[in-house]
Amino acid sequence: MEKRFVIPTIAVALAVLSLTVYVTSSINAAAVREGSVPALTPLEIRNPEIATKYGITGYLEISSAPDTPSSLTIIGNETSITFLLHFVSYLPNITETQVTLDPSSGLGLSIQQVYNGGTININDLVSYSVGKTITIKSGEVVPVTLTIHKPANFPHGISFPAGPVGIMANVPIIDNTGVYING
Amino acid sequence: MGKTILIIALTFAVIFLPLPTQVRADQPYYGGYENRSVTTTSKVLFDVDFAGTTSSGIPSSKWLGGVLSVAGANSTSVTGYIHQSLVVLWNSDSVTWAPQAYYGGSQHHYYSRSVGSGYYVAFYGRIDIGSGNATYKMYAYPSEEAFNSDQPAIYTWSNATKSQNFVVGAQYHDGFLIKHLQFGVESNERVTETTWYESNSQISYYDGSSWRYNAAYSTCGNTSHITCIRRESLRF
Repeated sequence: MEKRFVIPTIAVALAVLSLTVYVTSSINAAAVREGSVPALTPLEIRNPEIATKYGITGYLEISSAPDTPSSLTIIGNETSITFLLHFVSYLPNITETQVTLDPSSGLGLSIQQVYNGGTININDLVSYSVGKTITIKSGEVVPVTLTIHKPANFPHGISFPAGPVGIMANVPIIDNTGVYING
Repeated sequence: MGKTILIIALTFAVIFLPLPTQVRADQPYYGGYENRSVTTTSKVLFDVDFAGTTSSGIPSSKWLGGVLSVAGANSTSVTGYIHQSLVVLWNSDSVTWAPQAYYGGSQHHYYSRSVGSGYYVAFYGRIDIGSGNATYKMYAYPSEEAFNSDQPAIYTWSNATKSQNFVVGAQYHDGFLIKHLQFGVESNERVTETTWYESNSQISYYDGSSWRYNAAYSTCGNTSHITCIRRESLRF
């Protein structure tokens, strides 16, 4: 090869090699994309900028009614707690959400308390003041009363957590309730 | 003429030199994974506690979490679903449990509630799968007495899923090591304002007759691929 062709030939070869590597890596990059899986807390769910990044269209927040004590004692055979269900939509075209309340469905939250002698299934003791399905509009707060029924053979002196058992929705649920029941 | 070709060729080469792909974890994450051959399971388990951490040292805008994550599958074929049990310590000393699942980078289901405080001696998280549902369990032990006598409060969250089982172990896919069962510490931002301790223990899966405990290897955000969807890989 003549000397004057050596450098241009190397340069062209380098360019072709680079183009080949570039095209190959582009094809691979298109075939294998990486996605991220977060771990979210209520802090991120309530933040529309973060939440919508993960396809979250809104959320249902459940709180105890104001002035609800952190612990309640069952007087007689039953006691009641009022929960406030608040739906927040992140999309203008989603104006309401359907919520099911069925403690015996096996879906949603269940609570058990193990004690020295057995296990209490809280879902078996409760009922709601509304039907099994309600619709909540965006921004609306709907009060729902949970009644806890104490069976005759209920063990004495047992404390257990109560909460919005059996509640399901098509959006994330943030449960802010935190009431203990003294049986 | 030769110099012109040289300049054009070198310019061309520099422009098209491949650049490294930027990868970024959404949240700080450091954990471990079981480096065994892939096998199926219906239950996974872990334990978290925050003993030794002064929660008031965590800024109120941050949280410190322990997490167990597992890939959903039909037999050994992954479905792309990821199921997670997250246990978070806040500045207020409250501990939140947040079971959640994702598919293709989008959230599939989510629930959260307070299940205790930072002084609790153990938070055992378990995820079961079967009959079309993923069932997350949280066993909260407020004291040594409750732990020693096995008297926890048990919170269960159950949601429909399209996976029949989980897979554990690790395998290569499209050049990525996919780590199907992972556990670790995660937060929304690095917690650097206090010295914190978060213990992950009892990491195991059920083999049909007993819980299996294996050696684990470390992993961190950018290399923590957990499942794949067709040719897409998902990581923390």
